[in-house]
Amino acid sequence: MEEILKVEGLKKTFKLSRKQQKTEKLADRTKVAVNGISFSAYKGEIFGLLGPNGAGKTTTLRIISTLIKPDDGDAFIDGVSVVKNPDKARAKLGFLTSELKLEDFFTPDYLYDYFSSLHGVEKSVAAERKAKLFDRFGITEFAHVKIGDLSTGMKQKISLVISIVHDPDFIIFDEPTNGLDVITAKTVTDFLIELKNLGKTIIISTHIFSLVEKICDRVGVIINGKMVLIGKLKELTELKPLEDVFFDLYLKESGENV
Amino acid sequence: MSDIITIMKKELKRFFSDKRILLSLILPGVLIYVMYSFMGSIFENVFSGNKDYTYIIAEENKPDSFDDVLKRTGIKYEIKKAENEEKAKADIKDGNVDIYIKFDENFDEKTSENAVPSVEVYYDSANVNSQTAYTLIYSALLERSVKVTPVYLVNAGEESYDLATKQELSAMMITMMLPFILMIFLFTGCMAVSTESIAGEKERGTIATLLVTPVKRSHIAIGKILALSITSLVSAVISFIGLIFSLPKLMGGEATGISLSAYGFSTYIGTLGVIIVTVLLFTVILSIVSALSKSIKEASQFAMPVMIVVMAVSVLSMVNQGAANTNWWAYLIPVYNSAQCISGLFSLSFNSLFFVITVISNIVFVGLGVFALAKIFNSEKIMFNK
Ligand SMILES: Nc1ncnc2c1ncn2[C@@H]1O[C@H](COP(=O)(O)OP(=O)(O)OP(=O)(O)O)[C@@H](O)[C@H]1O
Ligand SMILES: [Mg+2]
Repeated sequence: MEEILKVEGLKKTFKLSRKQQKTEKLADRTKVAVNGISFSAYKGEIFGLLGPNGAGKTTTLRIISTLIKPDDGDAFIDGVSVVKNPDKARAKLGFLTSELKLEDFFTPDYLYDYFSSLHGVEKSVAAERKAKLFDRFGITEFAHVKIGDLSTGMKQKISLVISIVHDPDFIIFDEPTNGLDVITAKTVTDFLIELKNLGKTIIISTHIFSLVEKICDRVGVIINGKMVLIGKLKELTELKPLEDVFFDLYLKESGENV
Repeated sequence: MSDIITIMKKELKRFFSDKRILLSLILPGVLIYVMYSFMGSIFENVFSGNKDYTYIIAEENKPDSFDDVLKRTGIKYEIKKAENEEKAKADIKDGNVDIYIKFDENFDEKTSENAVPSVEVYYDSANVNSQTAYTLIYSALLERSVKVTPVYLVNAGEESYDLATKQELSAMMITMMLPFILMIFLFTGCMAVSTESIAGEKERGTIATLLVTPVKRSHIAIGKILALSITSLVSAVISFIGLIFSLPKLMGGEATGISLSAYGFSTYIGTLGVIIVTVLLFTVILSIVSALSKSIKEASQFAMPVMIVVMAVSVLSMVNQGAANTNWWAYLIPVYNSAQCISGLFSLSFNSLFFVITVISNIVFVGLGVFALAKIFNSEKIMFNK
């Protein structure tokens, strides 16, 4: 199996404001968000990062996508270090979060061209790719409608397409179905499976067990900034459902009663 | 380079097709025009009465000499005999009559016999027209009185005693308020586009999409600043045009005799120059405010104290009554220097050294601001703060 992503000993601590300290109920004014995470993702798979709120999923994915720097450790995309060579790494990855809201004011067509240009995609290549992607995901007939006038499902599809204008082999998606209704969520998951079928490697984060069970090949469980379990979905769920596997781990890790 | 232009073009497209933003770009200019025209007509009314208004005067025992007095005031009027004092006073309260003037009987005869007759003028100070009529008629009566039966003579000759030239008068009136009003309008114009430019990207999460492209952080900053500056400059030029068009009205037309001819081409070019650097400065300051905020709402909240500082500094420039500061180092202080330059330009005490210092100082501050903004774009702490 070809290793597309290799994550080695990521650590990230945030300094908190007094207000944050209060809301997080911490004694200290620092928060260890990611505490030594290592894992790999292989070509053509969907890897799921599963964890509760505040586990450190978003932080991990932001480090991998070069948006923030780790205090320690590194991640390699196709052998390129995100710490030492972020520009080169950016060309190899697509980053997306369900929190993304495209500006209502522009059309899908315009935004596609805009991000294509920023990614340095050649015009003729961009046009061909745009036609193909728009066609494949049913955007063509809405290409010149303002984002604000489109349905949430269509907006999500366009967000997805726009984050892969440079045709990266590796796609990072933070909480792909967060806040979406079942129909829109299905549009998104179908899209991800479609991308997988195109040979892309995808890493998603979520706290939704059913999503992992539905689309992931392998899963890593993050609790309190640590990767506590990692393995093939099939193997992990051989004895009991994913949910039970998770709660056993959670009880052991946090010592809390659920 | 091309990515700077791509970013700039996208921002410009947004600003110039969004009706709400377009409105807020044009509004300051229109407001300047309306406000200044309005102030102009107020000045005119105070100094010379409302030209379109016919003042209703009720009189008792009007002497012939009074016609001449009225003529000197230059107002349009209709004069009628009062039925009696009570009725006339009630008419003033009701607004049917603006002023009631009660002369002693045989007024003119008495003055020529060196007796001292009296005249009583009733008016309603709560009524603008009545107040104006009183001011004008009272001073005209007084003027005549000292000539006819002098106790001593004050300015009794025929010549003009106010030695200010008409140009100086006009300069004083404009310079007192202009810097303040201009600064506020320029700032609000910039606020309309700048505050949400970066905070909006954070709020929508598009900032991450932008930052995972290989585009340099500094190029993103420059692209945004350029678009914002161009947009704000358009707004500034509209403000400038509004100002130029309203000046003649502000000057009160022929009535005050104040003319625009005092200002030459260089005044206008200088003003435009100051406006341009000021707008660039405001844009950079507000972009930084926007970049430091987590949401559009927070950005507009943070922009308020900045606006208050700008207002306070511009008010400072009104303190010395339109005369521009003569310390060169004062022109290193942003906002204050712009306000002072406008004061100087319009009070006809333009100093090219101060102008150059102002322009250079503003450009330096803008440069520092762009540098700071690029740093902010590089700071994960600020771009992804919780
Ligand atoms: N910029 C920041 N400043 C301070 N603390 C932060 C920052 N970003 C994240 N944190 C903290 O780090 C911890 C991990 O956050 P993270 O967003 O990575 O969790 P998550 O697994 O994505 O959770 P969620 O399911 O809520 O999205 C949380 O306690 C969070 O409050
Ligand atoms: Mg998260």
